Amino acid sequence: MAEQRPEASGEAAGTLNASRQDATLRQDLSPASLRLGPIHVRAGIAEVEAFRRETGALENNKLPFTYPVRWLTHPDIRAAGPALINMEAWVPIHESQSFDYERPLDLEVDYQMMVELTREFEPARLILRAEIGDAKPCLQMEMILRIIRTDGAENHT
Amino acid sequence: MTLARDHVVAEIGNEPPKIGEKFSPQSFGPCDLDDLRGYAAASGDDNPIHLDPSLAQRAGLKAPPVHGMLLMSQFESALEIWRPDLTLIRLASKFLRPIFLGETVEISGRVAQITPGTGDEKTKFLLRLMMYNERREIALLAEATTILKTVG
Repeated sequence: MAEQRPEASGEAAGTLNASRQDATLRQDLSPASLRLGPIHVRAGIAEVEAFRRETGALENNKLPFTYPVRWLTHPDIRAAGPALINMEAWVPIHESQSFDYERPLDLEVDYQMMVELTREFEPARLILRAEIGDAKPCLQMEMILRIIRTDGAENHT
Repeated sequence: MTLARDHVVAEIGNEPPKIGEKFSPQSFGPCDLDDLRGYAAASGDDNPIHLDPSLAQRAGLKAPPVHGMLLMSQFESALEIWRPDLTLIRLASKFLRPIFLGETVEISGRVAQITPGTGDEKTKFLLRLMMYNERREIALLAEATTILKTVG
């Protein structure tokens, strides 16, 4: 498995940066924002090979640059989205994405990921910001998703 | 898999990139539903809008769109072909228009800015990358920050 369930409060969050030292499994920051982590992530060889095959990535011994987006599908993150969206029928549409590496991530190495989810209104968006690292930060990701209703209602909330 | 990419020969010599340097267009696609199912399984992104034509229609789309992240991942591969001497350290993309099943896209790019290194900081090469749909509209607009690979 590439992902494991997050641990309880703060065990290793301080290894990422000082501002995250008080991280908890699920910390409500405001009615429209919450924080998850630390979530343990690892790029397994089999998962990376499957990802490489499906994206047509060239063969090499590096982690594909966009591979860590896979970790944002962690079950706890997926569960948090609907709680913030609070709509019946909707789908997320990708508006923008960024990957900002300070250091490369390696295969078969354990990392910790902290995630902050923020719900925006008018227009409806979900923003995920993730920081991945071990003793030092390695990668920051930002994903902005537009929320589109699929029940025929107007798409403005 | 129906994914295809024009593998052009790397077109550079030993010279570092220069501002304004353009890269030969590369194509990617078309993707079919099996390709999207395969990417969904490998990436964990099983958003049904990519896999269910009727749901895509209810969301106002004519057909399932290709995963934005599958498209974005093509920039890394394109860069490896254009400039194998560069390492990608930052990539940011906006998804301006959907690419639908059956569409082929074209990827192009150019060197937009060079920031000379200072001290331990390496020289950074900012690339402007575009992905066009079949109507020559920009579907993805991206910026890539790269550095020269360390030799040895």
